[in-house]
Amino acid sequence: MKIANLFKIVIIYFLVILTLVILIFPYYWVFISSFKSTIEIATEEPRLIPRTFTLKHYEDLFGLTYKFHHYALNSLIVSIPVTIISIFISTLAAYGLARGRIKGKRAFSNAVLLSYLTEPSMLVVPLFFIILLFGLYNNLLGLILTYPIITIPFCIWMLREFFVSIPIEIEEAALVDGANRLHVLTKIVLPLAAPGIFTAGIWSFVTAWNEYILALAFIAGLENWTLPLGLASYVAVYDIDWGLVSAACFLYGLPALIVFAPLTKYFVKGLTLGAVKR
Amino acid sequence: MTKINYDYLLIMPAILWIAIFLIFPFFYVIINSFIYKNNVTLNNYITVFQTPRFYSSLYRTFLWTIGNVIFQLGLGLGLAILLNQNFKGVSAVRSLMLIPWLSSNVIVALQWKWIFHGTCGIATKLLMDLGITSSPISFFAPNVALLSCIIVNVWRWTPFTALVFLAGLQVIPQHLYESALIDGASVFQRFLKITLPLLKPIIAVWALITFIRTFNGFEIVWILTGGGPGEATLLLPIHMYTTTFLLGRFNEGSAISVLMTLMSTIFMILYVRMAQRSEQ
Amino acid sequence: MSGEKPKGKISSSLIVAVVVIIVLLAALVYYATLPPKVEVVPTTVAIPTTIVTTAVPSTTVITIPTTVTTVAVTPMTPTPEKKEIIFWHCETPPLRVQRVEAVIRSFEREYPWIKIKQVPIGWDAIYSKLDEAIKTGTQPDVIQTIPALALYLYHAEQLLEVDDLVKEIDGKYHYAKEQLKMHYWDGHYWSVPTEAITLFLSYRENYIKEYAGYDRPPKTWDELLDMVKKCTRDIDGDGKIDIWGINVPITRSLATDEWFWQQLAVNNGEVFLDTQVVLDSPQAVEALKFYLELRKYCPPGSENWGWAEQNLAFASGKIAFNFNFGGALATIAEYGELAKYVKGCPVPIPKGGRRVALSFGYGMGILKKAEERGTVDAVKTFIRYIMDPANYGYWLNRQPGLFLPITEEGEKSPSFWADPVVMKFRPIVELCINETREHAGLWGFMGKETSKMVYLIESTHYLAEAVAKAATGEMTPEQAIKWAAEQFRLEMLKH
Repeated sequence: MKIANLFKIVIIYFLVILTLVILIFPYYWVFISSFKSTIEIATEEPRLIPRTFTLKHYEDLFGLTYKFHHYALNSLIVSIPVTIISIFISTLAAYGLARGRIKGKRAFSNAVLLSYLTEPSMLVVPLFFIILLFGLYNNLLGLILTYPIITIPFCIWMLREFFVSIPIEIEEAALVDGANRLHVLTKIVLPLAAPGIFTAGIWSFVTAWNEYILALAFIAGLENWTLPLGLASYVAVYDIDWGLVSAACFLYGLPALIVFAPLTKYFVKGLTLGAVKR
Repeated sequence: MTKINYDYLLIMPAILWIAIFLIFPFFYVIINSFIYKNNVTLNNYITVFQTPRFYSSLYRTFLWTIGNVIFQLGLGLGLAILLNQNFKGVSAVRSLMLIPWLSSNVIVALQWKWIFHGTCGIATKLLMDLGITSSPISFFAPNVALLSCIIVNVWRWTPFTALVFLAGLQVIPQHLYESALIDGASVFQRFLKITLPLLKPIIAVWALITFIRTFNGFEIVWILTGGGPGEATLLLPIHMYTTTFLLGRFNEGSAISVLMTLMSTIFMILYVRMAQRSEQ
Repeated sequence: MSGEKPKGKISSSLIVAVVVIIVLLAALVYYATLPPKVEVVPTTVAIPTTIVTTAVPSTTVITIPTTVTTVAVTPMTPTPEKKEIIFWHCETPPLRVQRVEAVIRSFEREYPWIKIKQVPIGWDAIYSKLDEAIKTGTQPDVIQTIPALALYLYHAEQLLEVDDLVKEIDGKYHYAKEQLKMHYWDGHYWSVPTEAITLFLSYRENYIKEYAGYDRPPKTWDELLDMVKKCTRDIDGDGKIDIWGINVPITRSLATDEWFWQQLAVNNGEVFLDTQVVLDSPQAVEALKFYLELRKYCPPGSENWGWAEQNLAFASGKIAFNFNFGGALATIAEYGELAKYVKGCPVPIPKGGRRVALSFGYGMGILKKAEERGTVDAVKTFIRYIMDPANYGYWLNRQPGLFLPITEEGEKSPSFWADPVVMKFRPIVELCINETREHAGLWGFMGKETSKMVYLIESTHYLAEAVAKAATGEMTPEQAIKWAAEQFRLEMLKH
């Protein structure tokens, strides 16, 4: 019996380590490549432990040539308003769907769920026409207005679950005490749902930060490029420096990881709630 | 005395936003797909259906989607079971599963493009060092390019899939397993008779979501191969993108986009029908 | 469920995350608002006789000294009206954008009433972006063109004829005749020729000597094939091939269009001649077969490669030969030791073939939009500024070694020869200038009249697609050529 258990534990640890290696290796590879000199990358055998060490790629990124900071600023200019808009709209709608006396609540909830299934590539042509119609081509505002469509469905869905799981007695008690609905929402429910709202906000931010195809279609010149576009351009037409591309990948992915790290537990829990409701 | 129901105000912003930026554009694009040189005509659709590339990319997209769904679901389920075990550091490992999902498609594609690089890449070197191949292999040769893309996409989505399945696994009551164990059921029987049936709803829904997402997937393949050597990885969304934005044929592109959305919707409906029927 | 839910306490790790974001934000704002580093070049530029071997630093911004000017501004004239010019061009690599900015700033210092805004747009996107601009009325005032782009704009009735300016510059600086052809059709000049880029074959002297046994570069197709074959080998004895002969692209891109057309042209073939599609010819099939032969000696993974990867492979010594525009020279220069052996030669020709070097005549197209906005004179001032030999070199060297002078006076421009990369590869640059002057050829301009539909090659990439189809085995070379010819004919009917 003990040997069978030991065997099982060994297998489990082996598989876990194998999985972690497969998952983490690409990031490790990109991380060390960003410190290798261009000459080592291009002319020598790829090594797991780098032979040379240089910060040149990171310096180049922030120089006038590659303007990483410029694209990052554009990405922030888009992501932050999108997050705010998403949170605002989703919170209101989710609360309305959870507690409001609205005809067709179920239908609307299901419609929201359905729109979660839309992929940005389905939306690129329809939204492109809207962009042209409103004269927002090559304008970051165009992105700010269209990204919420991608983020809102999921946020409404998730926040609705959160609101529904707050005991209704708390709200009813407040209503009995004479508070109106808005009061109940802001003073009582929101603080309780804060983790959910934060999660929705961070998720919206990460989605907007990572979005590529809409930006590719709606933005023309270098000036207004967001980070994904800039990154893709480093794998450039005339010149490729894989060390630089690696450095850019690492820096680009870092904020999303840092920002999301404390929320992983909440997120996994949120998935649990959502999955069960099905 | 009628009291104004302020609750509707709560959902108004969402409805407005979706109406302006989702519903309206969709109608606009549908109308546009029927317009060619200022006349209302089926011309765009005829052109689309007469392009051989439409059919070849559709076929390739099916291959790509089915391959992805099978691997993601299969590996995801296995990974979920692994993550459901109780070992030291299990919650840390579960959190780590989110990393590929958090990374942008652009990063994932660039990382793997670099790893799969023909002359400076680590993948081909590792394969040679491990003795699996004797000469550098090209991951983007016409006959393997699509497989390489599938590998990357599976890598990206399997961990998240595993987390979704994990959530489902954790809800299965332990006592079911215990009573099965008492009845003398083996590991496999427990899996087949308890785990799978109880997970079926989640697997079914997630399969649909994965299918739709993969069918419409653009970014990873675009950055990895741009459509691949020749047409090896030219998927339908890529065909749509090149027609609309690189060749400038907006109306034809609208037609393709409408067809893509239509196909996705039909899949959804068929799937839900099938699921409902199997429940009866 | 509700028992497990966190009670609304904001964890400390969340606060850390927010602080990190704020710090990142602050850093970004700081970097974005940093004034650019500016280096001042001494006012007299002497041409050194020793070759400098330092790599080209990528963050140098060169300012053009303002004392070297040939335009006199009389103090009595009132300040002219302020003009803003929108200038589109397709040179998106950051180095080029940066150097264009430097030239623009120097120009604006000399002509403070003119402001120029450059908008770099990738070659892949330029046609559709122009389409959209025309539809929405947001065209630029001036655009840098290659002949196909100019033809495209001409068809869309967007260009102004520029005969006067061309004659003026020709009178002052004397254009090379072959280059003028590329901007002339229907009785007028539609873009002002400014420079050219020309294809040549670069090779590694030490490889062909050691591995193929040749003391001189290849002159014919047979010689090239022989050398390419012999240079694909294992050089460190570990049983794996380490270097390959050459790379020729098969992606659906301009690179493939160009590389293949070059072989087609030297083999007496063409795509468009006068008003006909003449692609389906035995010469084209021969050229494609030769191209596919070369593919056998290309590195793994190169099915996906465009210019960038190819140039990297050559610069790092992985391939022995590389067809090139001079744009790769800056990258090659960064590889110190390896760069020593890089030499150039004219494109090899088959038996009975002709000496042709693919050459794109760059020019400036002035759009009717400029007339609307009253900026035509401002644009012409800018064009005169960059064609002036005192400034010409700085303009050309936004990518050193790539852009070549096309006027007699311009060839003598000291600022051109002073660039470190140009100095390092002087023989190659001189070869290119010679090929530009004597053997320049471009699709659509090889016949008696200009083939005005030739922009189709670049906007549809059917030529590249035919190469890809044959290379992946989807079609035989004969079928692929036939298919491409048919596609081109269909497109011509549509327009």
